[in-house]
Amino acid sequence: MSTDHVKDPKPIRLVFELARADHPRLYDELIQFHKGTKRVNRLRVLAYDGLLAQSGVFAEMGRGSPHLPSASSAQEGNGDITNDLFAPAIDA
Amino acid sequence: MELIVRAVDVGSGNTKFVTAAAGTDIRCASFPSVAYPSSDDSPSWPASERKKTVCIPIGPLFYEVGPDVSLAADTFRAKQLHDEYTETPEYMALLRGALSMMKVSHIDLLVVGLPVALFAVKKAALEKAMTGRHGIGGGKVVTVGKAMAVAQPQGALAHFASEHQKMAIIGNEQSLIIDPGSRTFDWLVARGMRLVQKQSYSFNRGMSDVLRLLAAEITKDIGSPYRDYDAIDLALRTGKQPMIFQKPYDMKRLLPLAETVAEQAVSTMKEWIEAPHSLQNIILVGGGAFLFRKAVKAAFPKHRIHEVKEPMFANVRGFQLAGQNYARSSMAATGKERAQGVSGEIE
Repeated sequence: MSTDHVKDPKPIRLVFELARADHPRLYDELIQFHKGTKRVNRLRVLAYDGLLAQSGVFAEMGRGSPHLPSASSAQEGNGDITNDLFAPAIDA
Repeated sequence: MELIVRAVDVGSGNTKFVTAAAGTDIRCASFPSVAYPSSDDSPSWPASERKKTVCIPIGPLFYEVGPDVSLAADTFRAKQLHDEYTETPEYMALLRGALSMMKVSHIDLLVVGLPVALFAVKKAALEKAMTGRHGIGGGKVVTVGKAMAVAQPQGALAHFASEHQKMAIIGNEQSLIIDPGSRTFDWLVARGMRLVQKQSYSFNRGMSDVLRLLAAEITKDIGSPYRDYDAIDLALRTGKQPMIFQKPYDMKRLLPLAETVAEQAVSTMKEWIEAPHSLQNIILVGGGAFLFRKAVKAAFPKHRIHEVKEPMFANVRGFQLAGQNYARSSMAATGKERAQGVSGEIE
């Protein structure tokens, strides 16, 4: 980054179109707000949270809690697999 | 009706238990494994001060247990650090304390853990003792329809397989689970999820040995008896120096001593492992994992050492998961284990 950018940061102006096919979840979130400031503010919040999440800030906050539930990607398995925990030990 | 499954892991340091579960969303809580005996059921502080403890009746005495017990207890005499701890009234008080905090009046299947070395000899007796009615004070009772005991690190294996999406393949793999706890250093070799008895064991080399050793060194150094194990434990985990005689005490020179305990334990374990090259998974769990990490990595330089999130709850989460699957596959069909008691919430 050049020093000019740091000393005199110019506002960024963005104009873009978002089709649902591009990002369905984001589209569904933003469409709940009517056109204008509220929709832009929601987009701003989501973008900034995304930036923090990418930087690991949210992960750091969660680490201290001892009672977090298991991750949603965890597999439950079934009795065919985990019932071996209750089977007699292998002696050999 | 869905069977109610719960899990408790009464460790020497902390009692871990499941408060709610839906699939893999397993919520846990814990309190120090300290039971403070008294002759009546009144807490050891004024009624105006609400603290998180319960008084559990065992025989002629009451035992106060719970997250705030350290505010009341003389912890020096209240801990049970020996091989018969599962047969002590303190153990039963800790288990019933956990039951009382689950807020259910009936449990269809309760899964509990045992140190590896005690597993074969204590399993049947513990399962028998856990089944039936448990008074939890105030006239309330929790009934347990069926109880099953597993070796503590087996829970961590199930939790690891769940978290790492290995449920489909773990049955064909060999795993080594290393569980340095408060009192014992446990390890377990498993084929699939089955315990291989001859290569699995536990012995008394846990965090408490490290803390005692360092306390003895500090005692020698300062010329005055020092037994603040919690301060040493915190210092080891955080690097923050403990305050002794109003000054920060530099523990750096004692760290190699602490690491020798871990190295000795891991070295002994290696003698039991017959074919380390066949191990697909080496999993390090337990409250002492942070101190044993270096020694484990040095012992298995060609392996990747896996750790899990919140290692303290790894065993109890695995117990719960396996218990839920067992209840669905082996109990729901017959309904035989369903006790007559009505399940529901306790106020």
